Amino acid sequence: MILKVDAIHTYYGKSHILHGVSLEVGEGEVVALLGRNGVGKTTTLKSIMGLVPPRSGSIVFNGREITRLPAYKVPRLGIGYIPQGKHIFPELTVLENLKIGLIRGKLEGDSLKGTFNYFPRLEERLDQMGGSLSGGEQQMLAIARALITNPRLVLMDEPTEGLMPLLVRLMKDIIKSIKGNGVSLLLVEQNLGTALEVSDKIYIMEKGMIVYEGKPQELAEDEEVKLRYLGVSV
Amino acid sequence: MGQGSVGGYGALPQRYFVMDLLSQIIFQAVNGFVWGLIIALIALGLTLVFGLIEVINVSHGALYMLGAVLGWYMERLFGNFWLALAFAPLMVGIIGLGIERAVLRPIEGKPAMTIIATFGLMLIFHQSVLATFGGAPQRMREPIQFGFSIMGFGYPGYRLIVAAFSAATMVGLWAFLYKTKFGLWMRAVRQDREMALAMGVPLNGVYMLTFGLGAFLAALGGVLAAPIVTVEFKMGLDILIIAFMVVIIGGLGSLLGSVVAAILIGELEGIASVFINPTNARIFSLVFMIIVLLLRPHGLFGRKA
Ligand SMILES: Nc1ncnc2c1ncn2[C@@H]1O[C@H](COP(=O)(O)OP(=O)(O)O)[C@@H](O)[C@H]1O
Ligand SMILES: [Mg+2]
Repeated sequence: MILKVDAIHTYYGKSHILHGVSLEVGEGEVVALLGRNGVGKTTTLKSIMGLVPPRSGSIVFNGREITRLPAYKVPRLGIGYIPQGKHIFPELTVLENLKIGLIRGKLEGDSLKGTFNYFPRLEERLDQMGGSLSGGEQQMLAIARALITNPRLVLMDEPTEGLMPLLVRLMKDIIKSIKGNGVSLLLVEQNLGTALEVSDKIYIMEKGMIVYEGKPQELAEDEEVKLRYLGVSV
Repeated sequence: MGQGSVGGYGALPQRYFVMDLLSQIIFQAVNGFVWGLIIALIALGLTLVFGLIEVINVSHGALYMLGAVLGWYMERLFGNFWLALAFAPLMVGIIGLGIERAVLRPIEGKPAMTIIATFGLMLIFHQSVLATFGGAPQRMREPIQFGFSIMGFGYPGYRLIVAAFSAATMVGLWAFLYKTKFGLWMRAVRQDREMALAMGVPLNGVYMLTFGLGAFLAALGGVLAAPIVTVEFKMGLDILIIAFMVVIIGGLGSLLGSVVAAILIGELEGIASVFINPTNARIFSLVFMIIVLLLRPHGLFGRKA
């Protein structure tokens, strides 16, 4: 078990958003978290990252309790975060965007090269400002930035949102190759197809609670669940 | 047009007696530039703190004053101005770190509270200096006694050194921001604090160091200015107002804007003081600020929020 989230309750000020969310990500697994807009998927990831610390419940990463860890220490333990909506730093260069996560040590040639195998276009644009990249390139930069630190677990928030089909294809390949490198992944998705194709386990959220857990094959065949929680009809 | 208060910033020693109108204008242009650079240092501190921590630091002028007063004491103690210049800003910088940690952090994200708190700090610094240093203005000797002769007028060598030193400090600040990891963190925090945090940037540490750096810059300006102006507890009030005007004219949070605006204001008030009473030269700056804001509501280099 690389990540175990146990009955967390998270609030924004007075509004109670997560009502006891529990989920587990196994070593080397890709776990998808699905659900309609506004059910609390992003809040779940932010709770794990310590950006919006839960008021109760516990989060254990790699055998270590991280629930009340200061947020800046969470990525240093080996969790990469790829936020929803391409949150790169627009006025840092591509290279600086990549450097920012490397708290210790230098940007190593190896990890850079490995990253650029996926993202050759970034290598050509190292000195350009992040904000001058196209939407797809910004998404690639956000992913490269998270991977360059060699994390053990990656949290991805709707990576295919707003991407053109070609890039969605690329994104699926990236996810598979992250998994191929033994890195675990918690993937928030709205796109059922992507989740079914790449994940080992699927959770569905509704109103701040986990309402379904199953294998992709099981969900693929469960028309009632798909219709009720995802609004997908066949 | 009294020779006694050049540009409003301190009397010139008698040996630098300015002759005709043209010489006066050239003199004031040079002097305005020097002052602009000192003001730029101070305004940079203010705008750094505002841009990153979103704190409007009302005590910034008092930190400038504290630098000058500590510098004055140290100059007496060591008998050496340059030692004072090395240590007084560091001490005030450390005080700044403490202020961020003890006063500002508990009220983080409450702009009204931070204004009240830094106003309170200003009063505390004023009263402490009054109680120890006293209320009488003191002078500090210029550490370098020789003067230059530029186009027929004499100019104190010390002020040119101040200009060079200020410019070097700005280059150093630029290198810090653009060439060091901490500088990278500071720029990242400015753009997106939540993402910076999620990338492992220690936000509280960055805030603390930024405020310390702001205090350091204010105090550095204070020590540099001490031999030019008179040292007294309320010397920071005027500077606070100028620094705020500079930050607004340059564009909130814009470092380059602050430097450009500081030099413009320095020149404007300097040259205006040839023709009108130096205390009234401030009117020109106000008018200038109003014109800039009418034409560019976000300042010379400012962007829409
Ligand atoms: N910063 C915030 N402050 C207050 N409420 C928020 C904030 N962010 C999200 N919410 C609310 O929390 C709920 C869950 O949001 P979110 O986790 O972003 O959902 P999802 O990612 O599943 O679309 C929504 O009702 C949203 O309006
Ligand atoms: Mg979301």
